[in-house]
Amino acid sequence: MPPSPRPVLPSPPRVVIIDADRRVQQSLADLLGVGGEVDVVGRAGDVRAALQEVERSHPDVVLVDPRLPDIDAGIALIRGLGTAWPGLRIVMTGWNDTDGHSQGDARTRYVSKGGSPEEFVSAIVACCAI
Amino acid sequence: MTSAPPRRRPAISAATPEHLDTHAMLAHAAEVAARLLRADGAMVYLVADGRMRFAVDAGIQNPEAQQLIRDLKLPVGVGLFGHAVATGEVVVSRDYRRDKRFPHSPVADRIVMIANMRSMAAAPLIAEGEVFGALGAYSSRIDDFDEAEIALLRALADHAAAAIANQRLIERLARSQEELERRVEAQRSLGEIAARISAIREPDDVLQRTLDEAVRLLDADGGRIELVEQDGGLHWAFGHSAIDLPFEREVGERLDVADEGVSGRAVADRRVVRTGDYLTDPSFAHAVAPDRYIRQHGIRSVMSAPLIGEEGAIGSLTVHSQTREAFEPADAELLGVLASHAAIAVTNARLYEQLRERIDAQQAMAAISAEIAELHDPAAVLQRTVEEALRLLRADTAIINPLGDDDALLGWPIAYAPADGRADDIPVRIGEGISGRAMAERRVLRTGDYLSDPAFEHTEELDKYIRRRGMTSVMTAPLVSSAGGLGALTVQSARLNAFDEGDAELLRLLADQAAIAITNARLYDKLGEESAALARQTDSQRRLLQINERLLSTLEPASVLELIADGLKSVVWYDYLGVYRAEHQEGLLRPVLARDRNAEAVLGFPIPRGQGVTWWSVEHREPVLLNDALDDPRVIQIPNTPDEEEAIIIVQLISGEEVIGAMNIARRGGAEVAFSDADFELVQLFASQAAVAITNARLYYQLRQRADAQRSLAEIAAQIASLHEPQTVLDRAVADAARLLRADRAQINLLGEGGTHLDRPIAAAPVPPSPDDVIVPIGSGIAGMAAAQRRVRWTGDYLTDAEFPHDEGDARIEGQGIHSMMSAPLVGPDRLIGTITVQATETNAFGSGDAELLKLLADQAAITLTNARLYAELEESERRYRHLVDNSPDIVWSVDEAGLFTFFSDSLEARTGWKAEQLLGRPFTTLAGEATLASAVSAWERLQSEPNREQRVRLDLPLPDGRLAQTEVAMTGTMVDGRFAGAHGSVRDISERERLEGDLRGQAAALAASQERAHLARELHDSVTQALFSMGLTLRTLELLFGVDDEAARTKLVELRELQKDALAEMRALIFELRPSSLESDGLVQALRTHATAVQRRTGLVIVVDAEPIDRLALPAEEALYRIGQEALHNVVKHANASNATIRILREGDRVRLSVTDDGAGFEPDQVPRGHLGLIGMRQRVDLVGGELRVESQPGHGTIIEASIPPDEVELAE
Repeated sequence: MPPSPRPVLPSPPRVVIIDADRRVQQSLADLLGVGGEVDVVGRAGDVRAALQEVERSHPDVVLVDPRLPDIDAGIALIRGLGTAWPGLRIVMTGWNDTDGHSQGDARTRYVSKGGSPEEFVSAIVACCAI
Repeated sequence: MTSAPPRRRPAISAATPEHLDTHAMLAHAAEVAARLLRADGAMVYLVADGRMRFAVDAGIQNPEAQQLIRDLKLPVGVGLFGHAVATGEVVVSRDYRRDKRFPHSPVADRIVMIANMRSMAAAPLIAEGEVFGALGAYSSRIDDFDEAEIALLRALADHAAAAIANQRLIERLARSQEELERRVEAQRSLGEIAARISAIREPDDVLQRTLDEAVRLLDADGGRIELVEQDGGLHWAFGHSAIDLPFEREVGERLDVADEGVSGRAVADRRVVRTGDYLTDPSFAHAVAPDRYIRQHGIRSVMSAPLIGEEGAIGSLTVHSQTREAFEPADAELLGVLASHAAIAVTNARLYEQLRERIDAQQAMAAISAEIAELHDPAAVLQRTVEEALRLLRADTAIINPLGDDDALLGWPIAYAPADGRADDIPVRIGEGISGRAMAERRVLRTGDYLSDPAFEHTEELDKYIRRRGMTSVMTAPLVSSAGGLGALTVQSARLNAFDEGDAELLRLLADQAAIAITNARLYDKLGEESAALARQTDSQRRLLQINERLLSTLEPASVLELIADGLKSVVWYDYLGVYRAEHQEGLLRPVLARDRNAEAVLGFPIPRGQGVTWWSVEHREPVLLNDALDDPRVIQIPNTPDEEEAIIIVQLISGEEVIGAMNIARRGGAEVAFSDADFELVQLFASQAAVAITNARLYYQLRQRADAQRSLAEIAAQIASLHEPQTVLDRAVADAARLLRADRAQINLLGEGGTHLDRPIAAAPVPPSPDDVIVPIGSGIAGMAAAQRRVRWTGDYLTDAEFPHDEGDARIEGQGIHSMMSAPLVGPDRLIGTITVQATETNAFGSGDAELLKLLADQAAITLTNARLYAELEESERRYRHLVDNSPDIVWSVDEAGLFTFFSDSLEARTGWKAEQLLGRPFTTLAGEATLASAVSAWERLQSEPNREQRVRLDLPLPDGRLAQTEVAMTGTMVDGRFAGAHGSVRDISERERLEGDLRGQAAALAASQERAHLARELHDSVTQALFSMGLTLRTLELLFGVDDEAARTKLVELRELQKDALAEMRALIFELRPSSLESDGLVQALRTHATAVQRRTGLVIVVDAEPIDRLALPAEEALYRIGQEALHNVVKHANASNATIRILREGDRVRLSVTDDGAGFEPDQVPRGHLGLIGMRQRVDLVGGELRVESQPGHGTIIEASIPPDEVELAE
């Protein structure tokens, strides 16, 4: 993957992290927050908390691992979020290791947990620039 | 009894000489007496009516004497014979003529003289202590009878008397028998009459029949029926035959009940009255006419019975006879019974008639109601009403008069029945006559005798009219609607008192119906008179309403506007319509909808503030109607539109206080297309509606967005619950794939038979599977390659991509214009299941991120299909096992008393390979394998002592090839003459069953193992991997923090150490799960605590482990409880959405109980789908150790899973 020039945004995108594992939530929040390019505004570990968090903080992006802990719950959540907040960007993550690319359309991107930690930030920033 | 009518009662009497037997007997007695007494002659006299009458004689020769003696009647005591009767003694006269001891009769003396009688002796005839005559003899000689002869005469008299007495008794008996027969016949007749008259439905027929029967039964000469009429008098109704006519009176002439005639007395006293001689009887009042009638017809006896109905006497039943004293008390009784039967029958018949009339009336009312509902023509209904009134009330005339406009007059009839005689009807002033008064008082009025009734105001004109028409009874009901009086319905009858209360009620109902008909007709007329403008108003109102209704189901403000534009056009025609949104800050009217002419040009030109009449209208908040737009200076020309004559209406859209926009419509052309004021008003109405609708739609849209967010949560829960139906999951997988990957189609294909190809899709979206779908060989095309290589494959332009082997499927791909394709394999634990494929017409539609997503969906589908397959296999093997057991034929056998085989059924060879001849005559122990020989022998012994009790044993049956078949033998003894004579029974091969049961257990174990593997994979993924991932992230964070914020970095290091500890602990826990033997060292309670801690750390779910110290259990029991606890916790995390969970382990008596409780969502236990493996797995585990599993849950109230292990399993450990 050729390194893409990172776009510059007027203000850091506001992100809610959704992951069933609280340790992952914590470490992702730490990592995203340390560079100042992303503003982590909320965290959630299950579907209900995720919906409440998104409604409360109106983020630009949700970073979500759909295993909550079932993948069906996550997929339903992503669909629900898309319906209820049409402008919301979604970055999906998970453990399937075909290749490390984070690509997709304007609305949804995928970042593998097996890849480089930086890819989370670049995927979040990239989807907000469109 | 003195004088019975000869016809009915033959005059037989013991003392009547006419009777042949008596006469012959007396003649014989007289002859014997004359002979034995050597007398000249002998005679017998009998007593009748207190006088002596000559009966028979013997020996009298003189014709004059004979003549005299035949007519001789002497008072008792006169003459020698009379003396004998009077004294009851034998009297003897030596010389009759000189004997002074008794009074002489000149006639008797004359007979004595001419017959030359001197000596005479007479003996009384005595029977039952009563003297009824005398027997005597005479001689021409003086003192001719000696003592002996006198005694002989007495004896002869006694003998004759006894014989006559006997004869009398015999006759009396015969008579009483005859009476009995007569009574029996009367009773029988009565029964028949009762049955006949009960069946008669016409009261008059009943009475006629009763009268006829009464005359016949009572041997009367005639009879009649009289009825009590309304005037209280008895009126002749009809007679028995042509001779029984009225008492020379007119029909209806009355007889006073109280005191006239026998029938009057009978009715007054309510009893049967009879007289044996009418004219001389003073016990009742005589009237002139009846007496004359009686005299004319020679009537003597009369008998009358009252007819008593439920409400008193209704008349009388009378019979008469020309014979005096013709009727006896028994006859009276009979007549009474007949009369009461008749009365009951008449009452019934009258009730029946009333009922029929009532039904008739109801039917008529219903028919009129039905007509009214259908008819708008009041004339037809009114005509029908008068016809029914005429028929139902048996009136002679029925009319309806309308109430005049000034409410003062009932006008000429508008409906009339019957059709003739209408010309002489007259209008009636309100208040006058019956109809005028009924109208005035608004109630039904009636009179039974119009002309003589003072209860209402008479006028000369009206009385003349009634007289001319010959009417007597009149009844009127007013026709009244809610708006006031309409007219009057009147019936008239020539009869006196023709109408009663019930008739009044009926007339009122009819009048009400007619009133409704007229009211309806008037309303209908009014409706028809509505103007076209009014209709249009109604139409536009209706459209507005429709729009409002549709708005409720319309979410987009844009479609609301379309609706309004459509609705408006159907009411006010236009050839241009535009809607603008006011953007006050920008100073623009932005076009949001344009219809028809110049639409594109309008949409492309937002109107700057201040320009044109639309802005003018918005700023002045004033609607505008311009029929000459070209001449108005405010009008501007929209760019790119022709400059032409048009009529314009402009209105603002106002929401609350704010003008949110404007709507304008136009028609091209001059004065001929001008808008009217009504059009203008309607457009304004629509505009205000539009403004409200747009505001509502906006609010609704916002509200819905909120609601969607809430609802998606509920949807998610529902979807998770429905995941257990494979087809549902597959359908969802393709739907998700198509949507999430923005594909034109997504499909799942399963691996076909033989593993060489992929079958046609089992699920596809959005277009469902169709016969056009193709079969794909493994290794060919995208899907075939993904299946062969077991990894996700994709292409940005399939047809030109050389990387994939192409085949004839390309034609189809090309035909559908598909370029991008991606396929992921569905891989189960041990094999390839199929593929999931997405297609898009776009090129390069899919990337590696999409590949991830597709893989996730593929994995999910694979797990679902694997589980479903395992389940189907389990069910199939169970089904097969049932089939085999059910169809396995038994072998039937018998042995003799020594236990030697005597019979085998044909199934022996097929089931065992033994031939019957190899075994017949050999002992039963031949077929008992060594291990089961003892139980076979003891069963045989039990059978000998209790032959009737069935014995069942399991037997290892040796087969010819030396193997043993496991069998179950059922047998009972055979008894002959009460002695044990052998046994018979059946053998069932159960080796197949044993094998299948073993297989089943194996299957269940395999399933459990597979579940466990899946569980383990899940746990690994959920726990250790996540911990390691977090460590990676934290390390990267540390890198970034070093040198920038060392304090923060130090904190992160501490966290890193925690993460590492977690990972280690989780690893241990997983290894522990892999090797349940370690449960042995730590024990159940500790093992569950460790697990709970790990889950809590990972998920944040608060888990309390509440365990009392318990002894160690048998390892299978501990393992079962541990796994159940583990699975239950997993379910809590996965499904319950709970914040707290509690694990309790306690000992109750000799059982051990484990429960897992949560405060989560709960579920409906009955509705857990069959495929829900978690619950079934738990059940299997408790079953294996003989325990019980209880699941208690309801939606919204959490869940309790409780397993209880029985003592057997618990004890084992000790």
